[in-house]
Amino acid sequence: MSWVTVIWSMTAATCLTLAGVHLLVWLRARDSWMNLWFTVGAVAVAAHAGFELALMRATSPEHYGTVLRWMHVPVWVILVSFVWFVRLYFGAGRSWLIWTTCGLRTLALGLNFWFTPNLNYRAITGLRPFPLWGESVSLPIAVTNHWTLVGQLSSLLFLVYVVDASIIVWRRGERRKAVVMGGTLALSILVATGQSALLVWGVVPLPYILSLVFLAIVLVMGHELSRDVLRAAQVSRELRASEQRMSLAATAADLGMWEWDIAGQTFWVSTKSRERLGLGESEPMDLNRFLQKLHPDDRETVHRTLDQAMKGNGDYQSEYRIVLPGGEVRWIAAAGHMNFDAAHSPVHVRGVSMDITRRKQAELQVQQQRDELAHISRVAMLGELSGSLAHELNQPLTAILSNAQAAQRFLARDPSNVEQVQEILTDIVADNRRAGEVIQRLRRLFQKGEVERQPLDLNELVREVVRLVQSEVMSKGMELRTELAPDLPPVVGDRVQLQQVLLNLVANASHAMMGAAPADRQLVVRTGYSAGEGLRVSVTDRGCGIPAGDLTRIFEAFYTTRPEGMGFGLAVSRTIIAAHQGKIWAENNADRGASFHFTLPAAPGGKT
Amino acid sequence: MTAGTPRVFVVDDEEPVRRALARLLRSAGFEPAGFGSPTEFLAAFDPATPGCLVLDVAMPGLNGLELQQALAARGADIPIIFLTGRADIPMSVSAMKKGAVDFLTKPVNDENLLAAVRHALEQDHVGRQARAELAIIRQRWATLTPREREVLAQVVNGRLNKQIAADLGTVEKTIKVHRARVMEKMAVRSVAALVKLTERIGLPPAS
Repeated sequence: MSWVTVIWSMTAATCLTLAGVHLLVWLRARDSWMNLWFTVGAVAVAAHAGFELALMRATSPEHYGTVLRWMHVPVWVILVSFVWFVRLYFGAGRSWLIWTTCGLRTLALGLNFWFTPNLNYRAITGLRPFPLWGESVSLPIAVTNHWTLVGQLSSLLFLVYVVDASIIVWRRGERRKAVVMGGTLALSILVATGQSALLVWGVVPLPYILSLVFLAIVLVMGHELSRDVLRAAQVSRELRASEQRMSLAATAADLGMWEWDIAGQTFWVSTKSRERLGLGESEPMDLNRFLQKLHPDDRETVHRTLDQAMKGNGDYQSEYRIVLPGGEVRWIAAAGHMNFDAAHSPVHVRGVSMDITRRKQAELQVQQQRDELAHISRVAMLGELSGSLAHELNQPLTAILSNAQAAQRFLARDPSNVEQVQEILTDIVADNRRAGEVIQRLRRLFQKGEVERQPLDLNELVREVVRLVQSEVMSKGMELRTELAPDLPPVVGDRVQLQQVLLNLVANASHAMMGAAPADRQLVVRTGYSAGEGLRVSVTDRGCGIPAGDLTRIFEAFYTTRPEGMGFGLAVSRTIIAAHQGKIWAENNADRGASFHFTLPAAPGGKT
Repeated sequence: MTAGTPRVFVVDDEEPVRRALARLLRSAGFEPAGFGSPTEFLAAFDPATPGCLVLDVAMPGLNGLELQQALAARGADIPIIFLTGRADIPMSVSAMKKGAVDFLTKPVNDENLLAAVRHALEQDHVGRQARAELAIIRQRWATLTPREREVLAQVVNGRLNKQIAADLGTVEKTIKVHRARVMEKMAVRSVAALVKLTERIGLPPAS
């Protein structure tokens, strides 16, 4: 049994095996250059081991010289590949050291082929046997070539590079890396260079056993590389666990997930989302099919939202209804994010969706209750307006009656006075229409209709309310003035509900002034801009004011200062204004009386 | 406005109502004139014109009751018929106390309105006549000399000529002449008529 053969062969085999593994890794991931350098280095070490074995088995000085000469090739490869491996592994080090190291080694290789027999020796005169692990191996009897220093210098430079880079890495905080890789390399280079030098200069009679040192380096490098592979495996395990957690959370939260590959035109939908859309297990999905599932009224909105996400930062959020095959309608909230390529065209969208039908129903119910309450309190306000209405209706009725009776008299006296009678009839028709309009206005205010959001002219709204209450306010000896800012942008809202708020404020103001001196019975309704909050309407009286502690309490339900009041008006007003994204508040005037203000956002898009 | 024909002034802030009321009045043979506000009416008002006022209570600015007060302050006693949208008893009582002819609720029936207008014009006519007579009596009284006024005062008090003469330090015959002159200037034939006249112009019975 030849131990030398066994050990060197195993060294070569180990290196080749590791090289094979990392070659595969590199083939799978072409940008992992470390694996490639490792592979090249390990193959070179295996070759080096073969050459060493051949040296030990050399039979003639010429043979020895030739083998040693060719052995410089794997040495060159080993040094270059190790240098680059370390460079990539540490991500640090001085470039000029790398290039000088590689350059010197290349120069050494060139000199090696220049000299006969090689870089190490000027001449090999003979061989002598040397006992190694119970075997006899060949050692040269030779004259040393001084140029061999070039090769050794390159090794020393490599050592300098490694030490320098290790220090940088150490300082960077990656101490383990610095110690393990830096330490092993430095030691190995020292040993290898030392052994080679002692040998070449003939100080110690020993065969080349550098392969064993290189093997150590290869093993350490391999180990470090595998750590990365192991970490990747760990990460993939963690990823799987995280995915499981995610899907558990999604299931628990009743979330559906979807992914739309815009480029590849594929649509992935989680089981939950499939159920939700009423899709079969294997039914294909695409954007059109998805849009078909939507409520017709919502398709446009969803499309627009997607378009906006594409043009914007990619975030996407919308609420829509889907119609199930059975006709059932469900509300869905979806949120997602779009990823773009370098040219900012969308590549794919990922998102989650949630069934919010219950929440929507609750919202709808709250809204219905709010509208109902608003209606009830409007009806309750009828009493406030009765005087005004009586007057509003009485006037045209008075005119009609007097006109009609005048006509009767004219006809009785002078049947030919047709012209006069015709004039009277024209007036009667006009008066009748006027009375009809009063009724219409009243009906609009008190009917229980759909709450309708539309662009409104705030000034027109104020004028209508003033028409309704003018005579009532007048009959109480009060003066109602308006100060309306011209050219206000429209607001979006429900005409009836906003009129109700205004009516309420005017009614409250006139109640507050019941005890005021006649000269102080002045009520002003103003419109204008509110700083940063759209438009503002203010109702100012010169009445008794509000106790400072009650300025916010007055908006609470059932709070009232009037024996006949129910304490609903302001509470309902606040609800209405809040539903219009506005604010309502009260304050006492500097001199006397109080002012109520409410704000409404201006409608997007300017004029009606 | 020309003095002579009585006018019916209609004051209401609403033009259609004003026009209809005026028409009704015209159909019944009256001569209406419309005004949109109490202020407008006051500006054009001439106490010499006979007539009456049909006045809406609730109006912006000066209201009907305030116009009534303003007229009273000027000493104008033109009869007023109030029209109101609502039957407000305290308000109507206060208006009537201040001399309103009537207080009618809108819409008003023609018979009621025309009756009230007739009544008001009648009242205005009577009032004007009384005021005219009074003016004549005052004029006549103004023609009396101081001595004659002294005699008149004594006569009205039922003193005899003799007593008057003694009081004034003269003879009975002179008093007789004065007395005859007073009766002639005041255009009365009996002492009883003279007493009535002096009561109407409010002369003190004794000095």
